[in-house]
Amino acid sequence: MSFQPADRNADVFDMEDLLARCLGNSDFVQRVLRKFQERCDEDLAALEQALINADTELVARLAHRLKGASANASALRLREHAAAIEDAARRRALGAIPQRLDELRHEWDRFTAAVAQLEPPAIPAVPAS
Amino acid sequence: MNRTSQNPPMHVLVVEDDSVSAEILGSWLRHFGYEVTTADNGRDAFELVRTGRYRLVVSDWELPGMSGVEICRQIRGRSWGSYIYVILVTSFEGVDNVVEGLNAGADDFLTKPLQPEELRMRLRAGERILSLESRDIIIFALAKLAESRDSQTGAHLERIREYCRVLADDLSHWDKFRDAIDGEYVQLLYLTSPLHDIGKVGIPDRVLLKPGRFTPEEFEIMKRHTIIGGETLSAATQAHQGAEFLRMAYDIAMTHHERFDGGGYPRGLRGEEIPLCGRILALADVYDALTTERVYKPRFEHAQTRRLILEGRGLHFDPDIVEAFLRRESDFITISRRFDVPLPAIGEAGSLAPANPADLPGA
Repeated sequence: MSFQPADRNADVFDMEDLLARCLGNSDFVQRVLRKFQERCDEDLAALEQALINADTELVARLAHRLKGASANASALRLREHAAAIEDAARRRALGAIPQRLDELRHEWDRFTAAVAQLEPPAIPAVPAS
Repeated sequence: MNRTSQNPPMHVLVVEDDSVSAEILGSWLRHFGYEVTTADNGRDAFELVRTGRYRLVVSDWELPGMSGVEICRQIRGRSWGSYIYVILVTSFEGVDNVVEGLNAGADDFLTKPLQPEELRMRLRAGERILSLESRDIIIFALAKLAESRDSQTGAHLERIREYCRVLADDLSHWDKFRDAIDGEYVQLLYLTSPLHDIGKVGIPDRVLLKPGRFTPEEFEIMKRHTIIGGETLSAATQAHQGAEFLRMAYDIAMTHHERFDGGGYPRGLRGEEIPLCGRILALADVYDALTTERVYKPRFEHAQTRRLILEGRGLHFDPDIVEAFLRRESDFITISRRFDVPLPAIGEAGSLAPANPADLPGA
């Protein structure tokens, strides 16, 4: 798979970093990104529901997990947004969260668009072991 | 694939609830040549640790249910057949957390996002520590030291623990012993079986090193090595909380000369009154004494030894353990050959006098 053009996506996710952490293996990159997308789809929905329920602890925990997953997928800006939400939830500053969540959503859309631009892998997806 | 060690791959337990991290960690570790098992919560992880298969654990700090720190505490709160090296992975830095982790018994920390080379180096450090595991080495050195006073038996201790492991491993697959023998039991037996004769350090030279037959009075003194060994180990267990694993060593030292029919010593226990480890050791010890050359007897072949052991079924030996021996005969033969060290010529052994014939286990 090709990762051109890199510049456009540089602030969305750091492909060079991700590729390095996937030991230069593009199948491995695809596997990680797929896992990451599944996880984020679930966690974003759960995060919104937790916010509606004003469950600050759950918000903090989900945001924390999202932060870790984003870091692993080298999605640096997503990581920053998730960290801000976690921080606000830990401070019980729920009022600040909806706007942050919007930003996170927006960033998530940019991320998925950037990932979709990557050429699909030459071989079928490797099942997670 | 990147490990140059000739040892079989180490098995790493990864505890990580985030599927992305688990995917990355697992792929890295397999790439480095480790075998990997993944658990996504602390309770499952602890159950896996209890199998005794994992000496390296890489755990996330934050987990649903039991946290990584709690897993650490649970691991350190028990005695295991071998040391378990735990690396905690955190997504936050800070002295407080590190102190809490260290208090819980973590060996190392990694901060997210993880880098493969860093993880690999930390695991290597862990492997080095495990390979130097001082407790195992000291136990074995102690056993060797005790043995050195009358040693004409070559690699006796090396063989004994292998025989014990084979027998225990076989029994662990029986329904009857499934609860009694798990992976941890097998490892503990392997670790502590060399201590069975440690009480011989308390036997006076005039008896221990006597070249001829024992008088009845001398034989009574010789028998005391079981009690001396048992009492020494019992004292160590009581003095050091961390020495719980020596309980099995106590049972072994105390009961490896008991006979299944009650005719053994020091207490004349019979049947299942004799702890399982003592019954296992009794067979392993006799097999080794018979199949090795001693100054007072030639080496018996396996077939002849097998016949003698079968004659002792239900008398000297637990019939179940004889059965396990028969099922694993080929392993016994392999082990006896692997450690086949010729006796030093008389005089070469310096001041060591010939061992006494009555030293034959069960004599």
